[in-house]
Amino acid sequence: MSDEETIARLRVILGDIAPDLDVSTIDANADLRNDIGLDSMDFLNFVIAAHKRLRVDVPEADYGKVDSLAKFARYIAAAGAPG
Amino acid sequence: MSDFLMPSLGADMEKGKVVEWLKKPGDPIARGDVVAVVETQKGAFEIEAFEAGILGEILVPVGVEAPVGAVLARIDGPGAAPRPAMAAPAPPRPAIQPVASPPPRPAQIATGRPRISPAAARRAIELGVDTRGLSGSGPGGAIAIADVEAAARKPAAPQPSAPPTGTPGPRRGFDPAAMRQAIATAMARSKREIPHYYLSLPIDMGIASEWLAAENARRDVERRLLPAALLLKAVALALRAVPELNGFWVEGAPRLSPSIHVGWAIALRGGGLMAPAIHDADRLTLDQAMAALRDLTTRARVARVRGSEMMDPTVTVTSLGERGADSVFGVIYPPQLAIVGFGAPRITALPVGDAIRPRPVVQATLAADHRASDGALGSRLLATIDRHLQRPESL
Repeated sequence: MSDEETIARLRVILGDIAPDLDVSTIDANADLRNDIGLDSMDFLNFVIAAHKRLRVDVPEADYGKVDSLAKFARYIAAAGAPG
Repeated sequence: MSDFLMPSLGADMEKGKVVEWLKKPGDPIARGDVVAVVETQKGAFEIEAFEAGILGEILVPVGVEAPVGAVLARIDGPGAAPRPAMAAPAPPRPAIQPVASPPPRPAQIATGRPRISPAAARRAIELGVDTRGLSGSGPGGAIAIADVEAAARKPAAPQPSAPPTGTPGPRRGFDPAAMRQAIATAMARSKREIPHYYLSLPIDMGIASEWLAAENARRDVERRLLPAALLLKAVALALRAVPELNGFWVEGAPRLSPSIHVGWAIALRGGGLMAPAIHDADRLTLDQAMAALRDLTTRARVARVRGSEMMDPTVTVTSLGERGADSVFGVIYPPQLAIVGFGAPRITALPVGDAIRPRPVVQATLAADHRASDGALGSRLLATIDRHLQRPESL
């Protein structure tokens, strides 16, 4: 799966956990917490949903490596997660 | 027979509008069932039955406003208390008669909320389709993706496309300007009537952070904890030790609450905030507290907060989270007696033993009603919260 495809799937997941966001227009490089306004609960829910749907496990210590959609997609590619 | 009433969802609410009936006359009702959705200035809330029985006559149809205390419907059968039990004191009830207001729209749906698959719900949000009133072709009549997409292709169909008021979007009945007005009313009353006093205490979160990191490292992602769960539990336990700050100021005297229902302040991205209750927070395990926080914040995002959660918080906690300001001195939500605040953790130089160490420090604050308590008592609450946070394993 390309990073673009992963980002598209992450958008759908983000839309589920934060239905009050317009996920289609979010800049893939925007910081999910500082720019998009996810709080720590939203962010945890996002990591949980990504774990369920994309089978990627992000330890708490790695949260800084997945703080934008683009970084999250690269993290998934590097982890070799089956898509 | 009992009455299903327009509840008081906070001291600042005078009336509400019925926007959905999820049960119809003749339907059996269990205690706790969501019977109707009511829209207030703060958005839409799910109103539960406090009695079991059979839903009788509906007196206030969809689209009509009614004052707090008005009878919305009759409930026949077992259970006959005349009104819902309310922990929070309600204002004097106005005369019980529906407020004149626009007639209900003919196409409005009076049947229950449709069952819908999660994927279809997502698609509906993407396409901006209002799923109320759609008929489902999925198992058990559940709405499927195809139904949502078909509805999106037929914009001319006589579908109610959106709630009658409020902005479009997934938060039902949420109007930022109306919410601003509700907050303005409550906060102006608070500052007019309540003589606040303020205290603060820096709390070393080093032990709690290390404990949390170690705990989370060996937990599945679904079971990870956030610092908020520790803060919630620490406040609830501290209020057991200092019960004088848990309750309401009613008719010139404090009325303490035997239960600890923590109103958890949740900022809404569309603007505004709400502080629905986490019931009996002192009796939850840490895992239950975390689950309750997750559930509540998730539902607040999509306007699925229940009326009972708005009625009876006995205290409020506002936590600015990881990226907020250093400290927050709250404004008490009347008629409560206190609000506890937590700032963002900051690495601060603290004496530990005979050395100076960098430690994550959170400023805990208290704003309390000076009519009901004094600073010595408030100090004890903050010190007790601190003590609990130094022993996270026993929370």
